[in-house]
Amino acid sequence: MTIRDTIIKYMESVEIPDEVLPENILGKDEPKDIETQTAEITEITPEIFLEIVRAQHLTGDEFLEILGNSRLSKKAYNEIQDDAELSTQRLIEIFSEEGFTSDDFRDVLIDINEFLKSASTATTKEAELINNEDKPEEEKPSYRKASDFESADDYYPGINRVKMIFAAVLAVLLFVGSFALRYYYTGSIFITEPPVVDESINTQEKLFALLGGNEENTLPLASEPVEACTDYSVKGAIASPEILSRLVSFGKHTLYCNGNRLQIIGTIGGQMEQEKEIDYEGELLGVAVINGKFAVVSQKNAEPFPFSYDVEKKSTDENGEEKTEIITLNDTLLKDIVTVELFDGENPIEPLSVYTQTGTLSKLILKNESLIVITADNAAQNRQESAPQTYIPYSETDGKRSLVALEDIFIPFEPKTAGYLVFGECFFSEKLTASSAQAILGANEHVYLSDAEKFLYIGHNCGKNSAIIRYGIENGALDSYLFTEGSFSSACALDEGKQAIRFTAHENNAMSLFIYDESAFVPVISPEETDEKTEPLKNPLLSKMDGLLPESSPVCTYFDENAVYIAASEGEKIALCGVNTLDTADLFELERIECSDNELLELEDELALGIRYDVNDDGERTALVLELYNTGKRVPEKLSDYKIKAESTIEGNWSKYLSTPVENKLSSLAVKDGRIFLPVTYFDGISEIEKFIVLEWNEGKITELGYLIEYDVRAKELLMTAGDNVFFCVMDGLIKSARIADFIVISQLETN
Amino acid sequence: MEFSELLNRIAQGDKSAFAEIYAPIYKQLYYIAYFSLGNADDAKKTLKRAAQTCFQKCADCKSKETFKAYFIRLLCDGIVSDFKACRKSGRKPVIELDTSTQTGKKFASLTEAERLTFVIWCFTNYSEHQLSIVTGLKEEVAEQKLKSAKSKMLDEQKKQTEELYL
Repeated sequence: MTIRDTIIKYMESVEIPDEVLPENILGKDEPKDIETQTAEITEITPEIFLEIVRAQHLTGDEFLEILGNSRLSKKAYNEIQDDAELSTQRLIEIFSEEGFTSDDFRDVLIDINEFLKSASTATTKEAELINNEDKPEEEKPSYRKASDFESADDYYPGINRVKMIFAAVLAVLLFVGSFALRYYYTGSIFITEPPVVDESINTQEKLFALLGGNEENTLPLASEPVEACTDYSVKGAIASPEILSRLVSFGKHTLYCNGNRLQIIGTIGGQMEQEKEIDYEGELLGVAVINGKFAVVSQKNAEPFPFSYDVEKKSTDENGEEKTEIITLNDTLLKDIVTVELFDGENPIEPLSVYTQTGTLSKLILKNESLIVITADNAAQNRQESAPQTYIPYSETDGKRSLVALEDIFIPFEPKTAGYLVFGECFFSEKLTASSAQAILGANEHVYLSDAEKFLYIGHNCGKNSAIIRYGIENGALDSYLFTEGSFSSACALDEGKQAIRFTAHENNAMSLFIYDESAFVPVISPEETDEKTEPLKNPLLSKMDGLLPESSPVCTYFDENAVYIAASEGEKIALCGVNTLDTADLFELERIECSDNELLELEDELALGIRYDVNDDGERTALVLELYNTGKRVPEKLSDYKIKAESTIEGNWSKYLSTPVENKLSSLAVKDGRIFLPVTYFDGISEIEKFIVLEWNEGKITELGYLIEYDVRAKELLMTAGDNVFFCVMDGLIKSARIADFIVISQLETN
Repeated sequence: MEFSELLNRIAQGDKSAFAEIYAPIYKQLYYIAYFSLGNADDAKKTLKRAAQTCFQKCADCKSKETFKAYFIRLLCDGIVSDFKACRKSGRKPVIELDTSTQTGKKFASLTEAERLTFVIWCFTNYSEHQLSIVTGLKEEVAEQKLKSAKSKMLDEQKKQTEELYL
């Protein structure tokens, strides 16, 4: 028996009332419309009113909705609403008590008439399409919005199309590839294995056992590194300048990452002189300026570290007696390490301090005076119980090694691979200091990181189990966690609102929305801090909606107070789906639209830059447009724009050849002290023009200051930065410096 | 009697002609209303109102299929109108469905849009395109709602074999 047969059998057990039988469906009397009836009656009493209403076959809810718009008092409305068994007599009394006049009833009837007219606009022509599977373009039926199934947009003023479009604008930021996303899918929605969470009894023996213990039964290493993804809150979706750069200028020095060689260049007044070169054995990832110091970040894979360990050796002596002796063996473990070096901002010749943390880099978070380093660390393959450094992550500051303390290792589930996610924070002052690192034990290839303004959310899947662990950025510590019923191995975004915790995930090739109880997060607290341990909710999932935006790839999620807008890419387009989450017990899709737009770059607090092209009717570019947006509001407000056009003495639309290499990577722009350095190129009818245009923003407007003609459009490598009054750029083996005040090139230095 | 002749009589106000066209489909229509709205009282009122509108406006229908689709569309308009009114009035919808069986329990757990698309599909076997026409939903939305309803109605164990029939 098919599902259809089963359900029809179930449905046909319902008795059909006489009123809808063919002979009764239209009633005995000729149906009269309200206008006709009211025109015939001079005085409408409550009884007549109810009689007319009854003939319209309104449902109770429809009648209530219309009454809600009348002058009926709230008290009376509530009485009608709350009493399902309200008698006709009592209803008449209520209208009398409310002093309803004939005109009041007439007004309500007019409303009912309007309601009935608007309730159905369906035409028989639309119905004819039922026989046409080819869906002719000219005869499309008028589609109902999915929102009709729960609430109209005007009923929830916080939900509107503008916000959805904005979310899509933000979506493109991520779509263009500034942020690498990786999605995983395990296909499970049930917790089948009990969580381990009990940090109070972490011991070396327990950790060693959880990682597989002896070599015969050891857990595999995580095969892929943790991918970091971004939380797509409104502000998070506007691209920020990247934390690490390959060309940085500060004070009297410029640091250039030339492959794996760090070139330290003295730049007094723009005159460049190489002071030192440092070759890195591993991968030189980039430089950041933190608290007036240079932080150079690099990574080495499979760095050998010797270690020794004790083993018991049994042997038989000359007398045939067994004896046990402890012998010390030497071995070498191979660890991936991330290194952060602190260089003085004034004299960056030798590193002042060096911090290393085991693992490969997953994410960096820049704070005012510190850098949070998150790494994915595999336990060594040749781990030995008596050598904890082989299976416990560690960090080193200036050669002083610290294993992650056992109480700082959080174990959500039985691990499936021998890996950790490690969190360390380096503080930059005169010397580099580091806080005690923390770690999450588990399968790190199924962890994703999602950042927000205050928290990082670490999605953790291990086999069929799932957890979300929260890391407080301000405190630099693992904060709390929850367990989920569903897999969110491809989680995309998470929002912790006042009422509930909402997150979106990509599963079964579509988007899903999960809503959790607000109390689902329980603190990660060590037993010293509290006598009572809070147990996580067994079933914190309040609601789930799946199958959203099928056959698409997730791009971003925008959380509004009462709704969630999910953007996903369908080819080159962004599709957007809004879901009303006001009633967490019942989720409904609101609407979906398709749109696309360009990206924004954060210039300063509440100010962002967008770049696009103006095109004419023939699709030709007519200008390069720089736009400033106020992002302090939830919906960015365009403040102004500035158009750059091709300059030529020869007539013609030469702007059609305008282009900039940064149109899809605004974060690579050099932005300094209110100035933007924009490389552009075009053909002016005679020759190719290449230049860096220098622009300034001030009070919400962009003005052009001038240009440098040193841009080389054919350069394979283009890096830009600006220091104090000097602009630097690297193009194919040459660093050039130019004075910003008068756009004159000061010097150039070969980098190879 | 020819369908066109019945329509001519309906156009002249002949209720019995309407009853004749309505008779073969009234059970399906009532079940669509009842199982979408969840209670008999609202189902009766919504069906009667759709019937009155259909009686007044069906004269242009060219075939029985069009008549049925038009009637279902009118019924869907009434059902959705009731969904909206229920939410606006702030009341919880009255659901009187029999949940003593596993099928009933699962059906009652469907969302409004899922119930509507699923019950129409059960009684008409309409395609997603046709469902889209009668429910007024975009085709991909109708498809998605039907898919999720089917998924919820199927037992995990039965999924593989049932899918062969769906």
